[in-house]
Amino acid sequence: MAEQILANGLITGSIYVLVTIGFSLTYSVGRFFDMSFGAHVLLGAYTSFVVFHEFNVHPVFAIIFASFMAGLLGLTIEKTIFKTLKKRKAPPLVFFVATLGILIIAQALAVIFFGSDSKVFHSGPYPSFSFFNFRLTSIQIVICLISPLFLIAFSLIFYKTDLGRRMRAISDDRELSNIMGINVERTMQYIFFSGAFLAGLAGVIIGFESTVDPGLGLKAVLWAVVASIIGGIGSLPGAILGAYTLGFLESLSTAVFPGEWKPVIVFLILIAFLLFRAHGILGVKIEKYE
Amino acid sequence: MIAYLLHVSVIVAIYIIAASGLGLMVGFTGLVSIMQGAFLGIGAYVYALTALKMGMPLVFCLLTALMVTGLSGWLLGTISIRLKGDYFALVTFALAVILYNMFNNLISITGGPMGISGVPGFFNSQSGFFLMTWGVTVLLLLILKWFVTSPHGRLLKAVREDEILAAAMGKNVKKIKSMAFILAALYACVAGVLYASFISYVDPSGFTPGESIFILAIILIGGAESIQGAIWGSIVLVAIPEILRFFGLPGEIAAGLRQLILGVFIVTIMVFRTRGVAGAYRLY
Repeated sequence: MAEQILANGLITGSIYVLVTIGFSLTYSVGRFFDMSFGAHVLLGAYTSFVVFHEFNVHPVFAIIFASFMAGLLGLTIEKTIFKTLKKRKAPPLVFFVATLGILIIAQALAVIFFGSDSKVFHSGPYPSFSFFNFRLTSIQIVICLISPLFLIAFSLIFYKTDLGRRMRAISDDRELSNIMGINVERTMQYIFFSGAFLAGLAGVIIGFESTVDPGLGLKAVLWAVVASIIGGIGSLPGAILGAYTLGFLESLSTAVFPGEWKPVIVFLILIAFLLFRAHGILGVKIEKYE
Repeated sequence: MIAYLLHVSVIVAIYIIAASGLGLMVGFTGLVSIMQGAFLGIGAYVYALTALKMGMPLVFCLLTALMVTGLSGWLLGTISIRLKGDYFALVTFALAVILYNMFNNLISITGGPMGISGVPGFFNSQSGFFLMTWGVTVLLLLILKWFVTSPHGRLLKAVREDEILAAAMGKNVKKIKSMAFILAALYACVAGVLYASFISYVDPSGFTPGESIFILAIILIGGAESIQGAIWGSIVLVAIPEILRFFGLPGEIAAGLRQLILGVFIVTIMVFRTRGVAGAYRLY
């Protein structure tokens, strides 16, 4: 029983982490909550649905194509809306509400083009396998392999390459990075693209693992919000820690409380953290008090 | 046709009440809250339950609803107030989600997704409701107008413009913010009670987090720090979906289109004109 809870937590966390990384990274460079990550998840999910179902392409191609599209969306939003708002020195609150608007647009488009019912990628159950004390389906095993793979790849880039060093510099001190000759604009584009790419990937994975409906976008970005706050917003290790912690907490709460209370529990945890430790487990102190 | 127009105008009036209360918080005090819909729900459910299950005279039901909502406003406000800007908005949104789930899950109290039906109204005729709702709306708007032009209103604006300075001048910033929060909740309560008695059916779908976003959008689009803003915003945002109805689009596409327009409005206002159409306060 306990092993199943852990296993479920691992799977959930692996999905959450893909959305949380980009979200947390965006906060670290832009200092705002980017709700449009929900739009990236939706784009990834529905694009892969169309490509996989209508055109019957190989799943791997669908995954890469859909995630790439999501990445492009992230890039576009940055070049148009974020750049404009930044130029006019808009406060983080305005970014928050604007990205909420973007998410609403994405959700509305999903409803218009695909309807509000749930879409299934794969009819019928997946083969499942028994391990010591828990069961995993084939797709869940794939998730537990793919997600950490992308995590490791991203971490390697973030910590071991020049591009990663530039990303870290910008998130530390944007002005100084600019003065030191780092092309802030270009690096930001890499950040927004890769964050959105991972979120789109999460959308595809969710599509294969369960169902997709327009409400998925908002749900997904809220996972990212809670996971980031718990783990420490603005930091990569924080995002990973927060996402997996949230996954385990959710898995645990479903085992103890009736399923329909899960959102309440998750958000109570969020509020608790916001009030008592807004910088999360690993984060640095941020000014969130007036 | 007349009945339809009367119905729509009552809905508009209810939104004006809810939005103007929120406008006090957002426009005058600078606190962007995304949970007004939840307070509407609290007011509606308390009214419905006291009227139906306890058979109290309707005026007492209203008063009970006001008390409960006011208390929740005080409680939830006190914990949220200490966070700034986008963190504050995030907390209120989290609270909206929590409250919506409570409406949905506490089936023994709220009837869950099935809701509560047969809620008694103050009148039996549509025109009666029309007159009463608009009468209440005008009254509440006048009270609001008096409030914002009074020294209280100046206190709110002082807190909005420069909290630290206001505190340095000896003003109790926490109390001022709390007062705005509770007032907004009370206005939402009245709107919720009117809604419950008009539709005579209360269910969670009217108080979703999306509803809270909608009411915030009314203020942002119509204009913050302006009472006309709440009026114009409500009229426009309620009229558009109703007009869409006449185009004969299939239900879901119409709903999606409505959301699309809302989203586009929100983004446009945030990028180009945060004071909205008729407002005076700019977010940046």
